[in-house]
Amino acid sequence: MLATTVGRNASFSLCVPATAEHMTTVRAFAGAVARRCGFDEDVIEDVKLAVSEACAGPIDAGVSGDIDLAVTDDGGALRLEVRSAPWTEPEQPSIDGALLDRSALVRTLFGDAERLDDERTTVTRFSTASHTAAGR
Amino acid sequence: MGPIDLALERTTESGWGVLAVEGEVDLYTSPQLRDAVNGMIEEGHERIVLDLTSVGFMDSSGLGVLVTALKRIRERDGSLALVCPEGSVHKVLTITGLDKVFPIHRSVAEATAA
Repeated sequence: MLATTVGRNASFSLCVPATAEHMTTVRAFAGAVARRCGFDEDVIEDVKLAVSEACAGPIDAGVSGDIDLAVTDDGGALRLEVRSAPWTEPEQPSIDGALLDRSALVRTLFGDAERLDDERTTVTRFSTASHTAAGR
Repeated sequence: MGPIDLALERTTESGWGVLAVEGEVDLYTSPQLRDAVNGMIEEGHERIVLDLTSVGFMDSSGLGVLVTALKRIRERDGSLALVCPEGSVHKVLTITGLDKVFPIHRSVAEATAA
C-alpha cells in the first residue's frame, strides 16, 4: 500500500504482514523514500538500519497482524513511525558490554527515538535531521 | 520481489575455516548464517573467519548470530575473526561496541595470518 501527497510534507506508508520475509521490502521502501527526499547515503543507511530494527522487534517477538510503516517528508527532515500490535523485546544475546538491544540501537542512530505503548499498539517513532539544515 | 537468500561459501585457509557471506543479514536471513556457522563449529573448526566483505547490510539479528557463535567458540578456546571493510556493516559493529569484541581485519589473508 502506498499513499503519496505531492510536494512538501509528502507522506508515504507501507503495510506488510508481520513476518520476517518482508524485511528486505521494508528497508527498500524506507531507503527509496529517503533517497527521493535528497538524503545522502550515510543517512539512508541509518534510516534503513533503524527501520529494520524497529520492524524486526515486533516480528521477532511474534506479534500477529501487520506492521505499518509511515514516512513523512517534513520539509527536509524525515519523520518515521513503525506501528504494530503490542510487543516486548525478547532477550538479546550480549557479550562484553556490547549493545544488541534493538530499541537502544535505534536511539543511538536517532536521538529523538521514542516508543509509545498502549493496550492495542506499540509505536516506534524517530526522525532525521533536516538535510537542508545540513547545507544541502 | 521475493525474499533474498544469503550466498554462503566455505573454504579453508592456513588452518582456518573461512565462511564468505554475501547478501543482507537480517531477521529473515540470519538463521542461514547461524546454521552455517554452527555447522562449522560442530565439525570441529576452532578457528573461524567470517568474511563479511560482500555483506551489504546487517542488523542486530545478524549481530546476535555473531555473538552467539563467538561464545560457543570461546568455550572451545577457539577464535572467531571478522573480515569487514569500512562501510555500513563496519559502522554497526562500531556503534554497538562489537568492534572491540571481535578481531576485525581487512582481508582473509590478514585474518588467517594473525
